[in-house]
Amino acid sequence: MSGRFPVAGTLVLVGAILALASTRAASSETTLAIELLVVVMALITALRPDHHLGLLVILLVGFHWLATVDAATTPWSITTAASLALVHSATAAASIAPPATPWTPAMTRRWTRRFVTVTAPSTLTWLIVIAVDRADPASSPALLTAALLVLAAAGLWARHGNLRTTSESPPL
Amino acid sequence: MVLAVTAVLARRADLLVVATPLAASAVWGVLLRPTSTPSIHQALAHPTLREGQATTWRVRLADPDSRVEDVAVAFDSSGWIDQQPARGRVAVSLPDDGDEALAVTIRPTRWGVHNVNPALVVASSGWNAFRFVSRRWPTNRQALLTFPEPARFDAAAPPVPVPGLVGANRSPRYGAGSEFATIRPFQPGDRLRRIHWPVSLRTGDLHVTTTSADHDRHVVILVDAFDDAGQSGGIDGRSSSLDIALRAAAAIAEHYIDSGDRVALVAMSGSGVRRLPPASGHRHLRRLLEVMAQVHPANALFDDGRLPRGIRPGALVIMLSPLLSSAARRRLAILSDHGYRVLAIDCLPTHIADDDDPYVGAAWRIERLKREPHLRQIRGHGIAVVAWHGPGSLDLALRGLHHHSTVRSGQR
Repeated sequence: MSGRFPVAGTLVLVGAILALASTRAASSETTLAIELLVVVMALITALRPDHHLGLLVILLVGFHWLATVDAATTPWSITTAASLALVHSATAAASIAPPATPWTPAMTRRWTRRFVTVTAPSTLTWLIVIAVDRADPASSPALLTAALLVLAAAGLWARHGNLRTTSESPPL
Repeated sequence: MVLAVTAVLARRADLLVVATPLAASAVWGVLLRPTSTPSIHQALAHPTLREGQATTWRVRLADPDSRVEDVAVAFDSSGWIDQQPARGRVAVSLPDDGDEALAVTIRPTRWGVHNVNPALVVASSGWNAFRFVSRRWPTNRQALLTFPEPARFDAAAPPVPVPGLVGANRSPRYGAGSEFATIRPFQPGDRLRRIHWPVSLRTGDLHVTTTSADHDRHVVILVDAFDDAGQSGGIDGRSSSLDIALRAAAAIAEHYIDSGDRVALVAMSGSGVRRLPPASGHRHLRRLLEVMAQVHPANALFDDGRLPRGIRPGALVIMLSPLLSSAARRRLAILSDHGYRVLAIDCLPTHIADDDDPYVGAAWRIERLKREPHLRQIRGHGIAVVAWHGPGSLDLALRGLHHHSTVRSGQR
């Protein structure tokens, strides 16, 4: 990987466009304004990955999916998940080094391996969703409470020391 | 996390599928987070170099948890420093590549004191969940002292005779030295151990061997930094007058120090006049080069005309100057009047009139013409003016000084 933007920046843009394409394929209706907004924000993220606009891109695509897709078991959810994972990974990878920093092959291999690793469970989740869909889990208050509790516990655990940014103190 | 919560609250399992990789990477990032802050050390491998030599700016990262995965270094050089990689950016995977590769090669292309700013170092853990950024505190700046690269120089001319009894050079006078001079008849006062018995027995009269006296040569190098004429392209490009002067001065100093002579330096620069008294040895050569590296062009020359202490009368004074200022020319005349053997090296670049701008080129040609009468005036004082051409460029002038001195001492 010779430079940062040519690869990582392009991947952010490609990921966002693929996510929108999957959403469009899974739904009957489209919102052109939202799609344009996502593409513009993805472009800015590709140029300035240090900003938090990448997070907004992911949220916007997620809510766009929520608003436009009705089919709960559609396989397009897997491609959307993979596309969003691509946006997320590429944004994180692009911000580990200042612009135009060449990567070593080991870095490229590790990031690629991890992207594949986090994308794979989507298929498993999708299969679980298909399996439990017939049981109508959405109408079970116990399952909903359990899911919320799990998420709350995960949030509390992640909050402890997560995503810290520190810098060294000045020399005395 | 927001998508996962929304999926649960909206009871949309398909959104949970979409959020799965994001949640997985978030959990993974948290699991890989470091518990202590890594420390970064960065320094120059060599604080002193010659022009064109290269060293490395090395970054070392101490991470007690071994949780830091990617480290990136951004080094921005300025001025007369080349760097490799050209943009000064290096990134490594710490577990795979180690921190040995965290180095930027820097190469000063011109003499002087270059301030090297610390590099920006970014260390991040898995998934970039934790990031440590080193600040470029100005106090961490390091000075890279760059000596002028000595031009190729050699002098085959005999040494200029100076009064002195101890040194590495053979004096034209007889005295208590180590080098054989001649055999002559015994005179009252001669030491008995000097008697040359084979000749004395053959001739029937006592004869003694005589030796040439050893003497110290004092060489004063005078660098005129009043004008820096011409554009400098560094070690790989064209030379300005100050580049020529300092590289020639370094070469001359190295030559005479290697010959065992005592070399003094007067550097007239923007920071004032700096003088180093005469001394010999390679430690002194380093001191000379350090002072030369700190020279910078002066806007106004304050010169009290003094030489360093300890200079013997009759010392060889070599002035390196583009000879554009009247102060430099006046200084030459005064030195000659004081009885020093003075040699002026004209450091005005030969290519100075070949400027891209025709007006600048014409201006320099006019300036050269204006300088000619002054040079004739200097030569009229008995001062040799030679252009610097590297090896042997001073030979003719030094032979002239030697001949002149020998004739004068013979007349006495």
